[in-house]
Order: sequence, then structure tokens, then C-alpha cells
Amino acid sequence: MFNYPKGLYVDVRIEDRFTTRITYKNGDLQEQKVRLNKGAFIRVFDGTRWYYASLTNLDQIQDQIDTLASMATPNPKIEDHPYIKMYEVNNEELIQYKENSLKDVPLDHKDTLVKEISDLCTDEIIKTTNVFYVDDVTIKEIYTSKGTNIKFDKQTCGICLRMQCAYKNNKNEFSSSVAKVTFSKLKEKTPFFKKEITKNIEFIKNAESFEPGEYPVLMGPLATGIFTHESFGHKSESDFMVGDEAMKKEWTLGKQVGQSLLNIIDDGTITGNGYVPFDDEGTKGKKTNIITNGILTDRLHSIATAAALEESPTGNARSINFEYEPIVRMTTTYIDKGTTPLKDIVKGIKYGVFVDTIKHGSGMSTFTIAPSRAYKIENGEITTPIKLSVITGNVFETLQKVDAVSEEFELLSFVGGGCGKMEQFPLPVGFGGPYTLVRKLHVM
Amino acid sequence: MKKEKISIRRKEISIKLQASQINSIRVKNIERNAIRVFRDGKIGISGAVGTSLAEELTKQAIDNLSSNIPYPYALESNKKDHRNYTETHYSEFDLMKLTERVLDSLNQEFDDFIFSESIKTIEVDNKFENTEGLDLRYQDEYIELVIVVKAKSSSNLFDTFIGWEGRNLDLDKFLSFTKKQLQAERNEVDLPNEEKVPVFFHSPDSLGNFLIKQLNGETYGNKASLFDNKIGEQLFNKKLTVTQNKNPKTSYSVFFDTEGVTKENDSVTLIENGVLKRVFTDKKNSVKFNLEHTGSATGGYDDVPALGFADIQPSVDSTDIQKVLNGKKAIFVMVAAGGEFNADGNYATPVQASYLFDGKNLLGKIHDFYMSNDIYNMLGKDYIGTFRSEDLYFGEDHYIFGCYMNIKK
Repeated sequence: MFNYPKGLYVDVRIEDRFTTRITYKNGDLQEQKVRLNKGAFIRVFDGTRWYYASLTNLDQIQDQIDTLASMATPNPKIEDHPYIKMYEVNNEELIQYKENSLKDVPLDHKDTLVKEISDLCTDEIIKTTNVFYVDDVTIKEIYTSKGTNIKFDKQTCGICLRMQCAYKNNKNEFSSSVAKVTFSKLKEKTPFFKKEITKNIEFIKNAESFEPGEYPVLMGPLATGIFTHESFGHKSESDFMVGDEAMKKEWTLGKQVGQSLLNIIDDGTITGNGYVPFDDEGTKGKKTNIITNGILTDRLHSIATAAALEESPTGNARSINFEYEPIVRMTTTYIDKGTTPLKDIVKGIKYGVFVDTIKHGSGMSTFTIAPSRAYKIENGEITTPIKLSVITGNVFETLQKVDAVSEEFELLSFVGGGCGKMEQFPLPVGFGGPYTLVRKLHVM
Repeated sequence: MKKEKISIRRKEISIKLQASQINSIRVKNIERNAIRVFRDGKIGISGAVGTSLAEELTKQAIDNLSSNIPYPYALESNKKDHRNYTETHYSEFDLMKLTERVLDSLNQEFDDFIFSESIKTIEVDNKFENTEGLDLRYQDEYIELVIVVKAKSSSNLFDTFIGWEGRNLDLDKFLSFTKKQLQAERNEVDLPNEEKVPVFFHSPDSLGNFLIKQLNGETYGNKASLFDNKIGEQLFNKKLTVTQNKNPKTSYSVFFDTEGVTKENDSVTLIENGVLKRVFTDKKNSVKFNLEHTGSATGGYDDVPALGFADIQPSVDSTDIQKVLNGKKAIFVMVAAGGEFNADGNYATPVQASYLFDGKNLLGKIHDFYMSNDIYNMLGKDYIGTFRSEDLYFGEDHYIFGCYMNIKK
């Protein structure tokens, strides 16, 4: 397909994206746009450095390959380089959404659904609403000088409902979002948004202040998902270990890092936001057991990190779009379900906090979750809504304090946000998990 | 038919660092174009990434009129304002040489740290034209250095960062200051043994984001702002002035909003000497809630203009941090990620990277801690001042915000 210069590794990723965005603000149509965009990202490697370019004129790909090659130093032994040896060669066409493509759903059907959700917001406590539908159908092609030639598609559609509420002196904003792979599945979610609106109104009417301190914290599937992603997921991205002997020692596979009931998984084969049939280097997506029974068993890799750490690639090289190079990112990351019923976990908490939904989370040595809806747990029952700023803890200590994970379990996909890593934001990822009890966290 | 044309070109050269070495060079040159058409009080928009034919975009924008999206506002007219803030141009070669010099210098003296992330140049060319005689253009080029620093002995993902933004990097001054920062990073010191401590922020992002939400005209008009019905009231410290800053010289962003509106001196005062003077608005919310129009419409190049984010910042009101501290030790916060204000305006956050600070020098690294305070105190009785960053070389137009915070290990 392309003329690859000798002595260099070259890959070309072409993205063809169809997107729709329909927005209703305070009940009125604000935006309705359909876009078709194409672009390509080219990488050239000479064994020492990478040379990248992104472009929108696909007729110029060959010229750009040649330009990047002129900046590189040809290496006659490039094929012996550990990276190049590790690249998979895949030849496959995996087009799954010919029949159910979101492109074929009439625009007015999408519009009707958003309006239906927007029209649910009638309570006078709701002061502003912003409801939007987005979909994304992406067809990717990846070609490499090693022989990969793949073409695949992926798609998601979703609705996000944001609202600002005010009742007496209580003011708060809430966000509820859901994403599915087909429009018919998304249409089934109207009752979910109805329930969310009811919960938000009840919350704002009754929310009380809460004394900061250290408490047992029970996290719902959404909060568990964010906790997993922020507290541990980012530390499983192995690019931070390359060239860092201290981290290699700290994160030796086989090390006990959490309670034995803890299993953390990243799985690129699950349909939804984190679906990666092939990653952006052409490696097949996989299920990776990061923590098994509290023991560190694997981590997430691109080809470069897998080669540097002499481990196997996991299909986690992802970029947010054709303007960026792939870096190590999560796909769908979750704590696996446990065996304890939720009601038994709640029963065992004398005084603590239940985090139902969250605004955002972040994680380094210390992770934080900013709750949106949180409640007191008193004598084994979830009771009064409470106003919190953040819940926070040390990552390493917290993993050792996970005392229970429920048998109830949910995987979630969203629109209207995503994962950020340095300049690359937002990347769609999957979240979720069981209800998770942490013995003690700082509640502020 | 009235028509507007928006064109945005952004060229980036980015040199990526990994494990204290140059790992890659990336060149991006992306153009985005959009056409808006207006008929019978409605707006139609079409946009595309890449070079596109104006005729094709216009046809699609006319088709988009069938969406019936209302836009009954007068377009900006009869104004030509072309500005080019470019001072220094860096080629791929120049940037590579600069990166090599930075890395050589840091690696030589600080081989106990690992440096990663990127040094990039950003070249922008934004145009906004319409059939009513509006012709605006903003061109600029600047450097962004974001170097993530991790001690080789540390088990954190990163320990601090080195950052700089501006048009003319004084490399010697940058390296001299960076070395002082890294020396402080090597020297771990105790958290001051007091409950309330003067804290200075490298970037008060959480505070800024909270203020933006509360000062948004749509939020205010709908009575969902914490400052509901308080325009004209003295809410904060008499020293505090907060403006919407659209001056590209200091904000590194475009001087017109997404409706093509410009304001005198590129600035609108929102809080003046502690008094809430106005909230920020676009045309729609200004009309809807009878609020003063501040030219604050935002949105992507092909979005319907709307109210969202605003470039707000406190005005510099103080000059000498050391003098203000009067011998007292303060904390300089580099990273306080994940913090949040609750609905009552109470703020709490962990602090992941900070230094003991005497008002001039970073004295030593402080281990992770928590801090909290209330919005009215942070900008009221606990407000210390906003200072031009003279001794701490984080950029050409960097400012430092200071207030007392409650701290806890």
C-alpha cells in the first residue's frame, strides 16, 4: 500500500470518524451536528528515536512518510530491534456494525430521544439542564512495514444529562451519563434517567453538612470504578517503569499489594467505551489480570514498554485520535465481583459513608474522589444525603483496607468525559465493579 | 444570507522525553474550518477538519438550518483587527537543540531524578470573518515546557514538575531557577507546625474553576449560583479584583469570543475591590436575564456559540511576598490534584507536591498533606494577595495567588 523506506520501521493509522452531537439546553435545541472527518497518524522509528506526524489530507501520507524518513537515520538492523521483533503481524478485516451502524439511525430519532430525556426535567428545583446525545462510529486501518494490514470498526452512542439544582440554601450540580453500542439499547435507558432525576431532587432537598474525619466508606459501582481507575489503574500503565529501577523493584510481579479478595482486571475485549479489538499499534486487545487475589500478576503495555521490561504486550497502546501517538492506556478496568451480598455489607457498618455517584477522581500517591451524591450509613442502613468535598486516601494503604466486595456488579460506559493522561484527554474507557467497602478513608 | 467563516490553524512541534532522554519528535499541522449561515433568526453550521471548500461547507451549513436552532442576535460588524503576537519562531531544529541543552544540563547535575513529558512550540492562526464587515485575526507562537520530575528512589508516579510558558525563553534564567527548585526537591522538610498557614499556588485551578461556575451568567440568571442576587455586594477582600482576561499578550488565547465580540482592553472586570460587579455572559444569556453583555461566548470551532468557560484571573495587587510574610514561612503548592468545592463553597484537597517557601526561595520539599478552607475566607479575610512571579520563573506572565489555608498531615 505504501513504499516503506529501507532500514526504518513505519506504521500508518488512518481514522475515518462519523460523529453526531445533539444538545438541548434548558429544554431548547442548542446544537445538532453531524461530522465526517478523516485523518492519519504516521510513525517512523530508526531504532533510536520516533518521528511522528499527523495529517488530514490522506493523499499526502506517502510524502509524509518520506519526510519523516529523511529526518531519521536508517538502521540496517532495524528488524532485529526488540520492539520490531515484538510487533504482531495481523491481517484482518473486522467490520461488525454494517447492519447496526449508528450512521443509519435517522437524525430525528436521535433528536427525539434527547428531547424525551430533557423533557423529564420539569421539577422547579432543577434550575438548568444540559442534555446531549453523542455518537461516534470510527473505522480504523493500520498498516505497518512489518506486514500488518487491518481494518476494523467500533461505535458507541450515549446520553449525558447535566443539571444544576437549588433548594433553599442547598445548591448542587449533577451529571448522569450512559453509553451503549447500539441505539436500540440506548433507547431502553430512559427509566435510568428518570430515576436519576428523582434521586438528585431528593438529595438536594435533604442534604446536610457532615463532620470531616476518617470513616468506613462504601463505594457504589461507579465510585468503585473511578477508585480502581485512579488508585491503581494508572499505576498499572507500565510506561512509568521504563528506565526506572526503583519502580521495577517496587512493582515486581508476584508482590502482595492488596487484600486477598481483590482482583483487578483490564479487558480490551469488552464492548463499550474501552473496546479495543486492536490497539493503535495493531496489537490484538486482551484481558489482563492485573491483580489476582491481592497479588500483582500483570500490567498494561505498549510494544515499547513490553520490550523494555521483557514482558508480553497487552494491547493497551491507545491514542485519543489521529492527532496523537499511542501511549499506554487502560481499556475497561474493574474490580471483579465478590461473594458478599450488598445488604450484608451495609448491615455491618455502624457509622460510615456511602458514595453513590461522583463528579471526578484523580490519583497519584494519593487518590481523591469528589462525590456528587453521598449518604450517611447509620446502624446498617443508608440514611441521610450529605455534602462532601472529597474522599481521599493513600493508594497503597487503601488497597490493603478493602474489606468487602459485593456480589452485585456493574460495568459502565459514559459520554461527556473520559480519562486524561498528560496532553491526551479525553480517552473513552470503561469503568465499574462491585460495591466496595474500604475500612477507613479521609472524608472531607 | 448573512454568513460567518471561522478558520483555526494550529501547528505544534513536540519533543517527547522519556527516562531523561529524547524519545520522539512529533509535528502536527491541523486546520479546522467552519461556516455559519443565518436566516429568519436561525443558525446553521458546518465544519470540517482539514482543508475544505467553502462552497461545500456553506451548502452543508444551509442544510443545517433545517434543525431550526434559534439565533436571533445581531452579528458583530464593521471591525478589522489583525494581531500577530509572534516574537520568536522555533523550527524543529531549534526546538531539538533547546531540548538537548535543557536535558544535558539537568541530567548532568540531577542524575538522581528522571525527567519525562514534553517541550513544544505552538503556532496558532485564528480567523473570524463575516459578511457584515467583521474581520478578526489572531496569530501567535509560544513555547510550553512541561517536564515531569520523579526521584529515582521514589515510588510515586511523579514527584513534581517543571513548567514554563511564554514567547521568549531565557534559557539561563530557566535553568538557574529550575536547579534551585530541584535542589529544594532533594531537601525534605517538615510541614509547618500550625493549623493555618500562608499558601501560595502555582496555579489555583480548583478555585478558578469554582469561580467560573458561580460567575457564569446562565447559572446566575437561573438562581443556581452561590452568589445568587449578590451583584453589587461586597463579598470578598477589598484588595481582590478578578477580571475576564482576553489579552493574548498574557492569556495566550484569542482576543475575541466565539460570537466575534471584542472588549475594550480585552478585559472585563467581574469582581472589583471585593465587590461582585457583574457575571460573564454571551448574547443569549445577556438578553434572557437582562445582564450586562461581557463577550464571553465559548465553544468549538463548529459549535453554536454558548456560555461555558471563561478566562478569568485575579489582578496582580501586591508586589513583595517576603515583605508580606514578614519572616513567616509559607507553603508553595505545585500540585494539589483532585480537590473540590462542595455545594456550600467548602474546599478540601490533598497536596501532592509542595515546597516550604520564604517568599523568594523554595526551601525544601514538603511531604503530602491536606488543606481546606471556605471560598469566602480564601477570597476574604484569608486572602493575602496576587503577585507577579518574579523570583519563581514559571513563565513570562505567570502570577502567584496567596491565601491562608487550614492544613493537616
